[in-house]
Amino acid sequence: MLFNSFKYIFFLGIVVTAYYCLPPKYRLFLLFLASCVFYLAYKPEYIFILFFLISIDFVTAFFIAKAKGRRRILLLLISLGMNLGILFFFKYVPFLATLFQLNNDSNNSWFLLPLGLSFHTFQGMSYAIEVFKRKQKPIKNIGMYALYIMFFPQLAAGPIERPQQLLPQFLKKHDFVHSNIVIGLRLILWGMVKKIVIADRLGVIVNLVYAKPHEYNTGIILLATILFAFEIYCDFSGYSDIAIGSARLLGYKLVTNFSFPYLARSIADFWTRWHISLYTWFRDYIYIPLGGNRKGTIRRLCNILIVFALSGLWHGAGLHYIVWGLLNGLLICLTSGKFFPKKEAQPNKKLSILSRGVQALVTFLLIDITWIFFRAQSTNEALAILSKIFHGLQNFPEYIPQIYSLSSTKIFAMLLFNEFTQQIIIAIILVVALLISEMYLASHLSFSRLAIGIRWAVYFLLLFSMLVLGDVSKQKFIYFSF
Amino acid sequence: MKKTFFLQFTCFWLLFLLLGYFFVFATEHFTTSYTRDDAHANLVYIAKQKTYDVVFLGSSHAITVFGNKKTYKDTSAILHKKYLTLANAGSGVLPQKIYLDYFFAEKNKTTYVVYLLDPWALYYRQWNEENYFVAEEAFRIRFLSLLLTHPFDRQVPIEYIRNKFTYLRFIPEQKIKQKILSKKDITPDLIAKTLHHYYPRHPEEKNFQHYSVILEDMIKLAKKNNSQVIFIIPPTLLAKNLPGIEEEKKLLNKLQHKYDVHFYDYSSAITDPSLYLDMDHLNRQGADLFTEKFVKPILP
Repeated sequence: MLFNSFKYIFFLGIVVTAYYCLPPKYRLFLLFLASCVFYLAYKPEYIFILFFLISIDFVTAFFIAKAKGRRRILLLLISLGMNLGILFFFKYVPFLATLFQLNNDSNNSWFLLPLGLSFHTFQGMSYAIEVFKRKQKPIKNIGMYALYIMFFPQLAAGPIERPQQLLPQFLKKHDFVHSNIVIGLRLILWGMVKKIVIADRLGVIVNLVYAKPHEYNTGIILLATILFAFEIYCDFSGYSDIAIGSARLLGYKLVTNFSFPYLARSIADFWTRWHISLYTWFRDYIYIPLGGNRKGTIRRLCNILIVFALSGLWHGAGLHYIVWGLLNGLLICLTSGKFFPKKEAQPNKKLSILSRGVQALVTFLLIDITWIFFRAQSTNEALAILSKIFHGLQNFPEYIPQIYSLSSTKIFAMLLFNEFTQQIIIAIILVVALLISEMYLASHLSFSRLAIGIRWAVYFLLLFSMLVLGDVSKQKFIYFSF
Repeated sequence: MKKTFFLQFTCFWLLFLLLGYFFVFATEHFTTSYTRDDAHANLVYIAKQKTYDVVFLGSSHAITVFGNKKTYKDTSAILHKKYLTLANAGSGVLPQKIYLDYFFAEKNKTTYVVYLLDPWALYYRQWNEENYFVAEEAFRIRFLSLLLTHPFDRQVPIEYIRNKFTYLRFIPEQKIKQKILSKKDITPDLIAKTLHHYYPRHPEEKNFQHYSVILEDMIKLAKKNNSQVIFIIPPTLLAKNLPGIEEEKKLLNKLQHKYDVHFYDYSSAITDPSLYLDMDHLNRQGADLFTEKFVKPILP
């Protein structure tokens, strides 16, 4: 059941209505049932894998809390091993089989990745590790643990929750609170617009160009690469907004997963704003246990590279994902050399808006270069695209006189003539609108404080944009593939 | 609190539906589909990647003979050809070039382009750059871009967009009253009135040269798309009175040799007033006769 579908909206409406109509003691059961329905809508037989993992994690965590010494470590390894084993099996075995020509089924239909596998395994491992570290008491109710893993707003693609964040919320009574409903609906609307209107529109051009990059000139490839940066952001953050908004309707607060990443002014800062729940997971369970920044500079840089290599591997079974991860790690090492640096207490107020803008632009361009490896089908293809871009940029000065000789009306009309360029114009307008919206939201100016007329006008505009420009329920979310 | 929320929620969606209704109502001309019988809009008939035997260009003189509407089946049966008419009432060479541009841009093909070219089409801005033919046209972004890249008056593309927001459904059906003209109806007054309609001012040579260039561009466009071009001076009862007709014949003769196009002067082909609606538009009988005896033989 895709988030960007009428089916989900209908499903959510029923669940929220039933939730507030039912007595509090039945509400968790309703959420569990709803989560099962949500999961079963995907591939019903895989629910047994999910129940299996839930059972293993629940039981091992229970015994970890009671055990001592090596037995605790062994039980933890069993829990982590089961999770990683299943993740490895579904995610990497098909790729390896194809690589070694053991599997002729190019669709890998039997190995269809279970919904949210990469996310709920990490969430389950987080629970086991926190119990091991004695920062979390094991839950005695398997139903509640199951709900922690299966909670439908964040089951498919995160945010990856921590037990200390989510579990206590299941024990609280959630009354109907007006602000929760309004914030929830607002987030869902914004998430839908980002996905349906912006991401899917940009995807039309990106998919065309990246399917056959050799058929397009440098300018178009460069534009498609820039548009991909916004496509993946809108796709994933749109999903996160819908997830967080859906949970908020029920009174639950999920962690923020994106914090205006393209306004970041350094690579390190970018990775504190992008897919926050995943990269804090890596920080807490990989980077810090490896020594973090406490074992000297070389060790710190190695740890950063390991974390990012693993994050690349998490995203997919392909060398280009690992290269993508390593590139980002390398960029951090070459720039600030810090992973998740502490934010400065006082931001540097001496920098002008222009300077901050240039920093953000340079950061964006560096990140965008790495996105080429993420989007391309292989490392070779990514290198070919990169090479074409750089060669094209070298020849750019030759085209300046030709462009200068055309009037703006003529350029605009020529762009309108072709369906492909029409899509590009729409895409650029949408990206500009997105950036303006993001800058407004990042400025912490409270949208709720605006007059009701203005708020409603904005909602109408967003709804109309979905109706006029949107393509509902046809495109799945990019991160569902992970 | 629940009551307040549900009240606001309900009001919001009611207002949204109301606004949506007005929005759709006001912009229906952007997306409404028309049938052949109720629309003048040529763009409605231009599909993509279609192949035709003939595309007819021209003014209302071409429409009365080769209109896309009710008469299509009959005329197509006479010609034994699949055809499309891009003619438009009062259309000069520039609007016709836009239609032809659009036709080929949509990856359509045709064996012949037959242009029923009136001499007045080569003399006046009101039939060309200042022609508001777009008022009845369906909205197409590519067509808008063509309007912007050709030297139309600024108001033409503006009117094209603005007209689509009218709440009135502005697709008037052209009802042609089939009548028979008699000799006694042809008075000097009628002749003068008709000529003044087509030639509001003295025709100027520089305009003729300007539109001749556009005509040549049309020929090149057709040739580029492997279509043969045929020019016809359509039949009229004003053949002896029409200013510029001799200049037009000289031009078409020259183009015939330069571009290997064909040219037929049928201005005096039909002289019986009973085959006309007025001084220069054939009635149904006249149209069928013209098609059978004069057009069909030149389209092998």
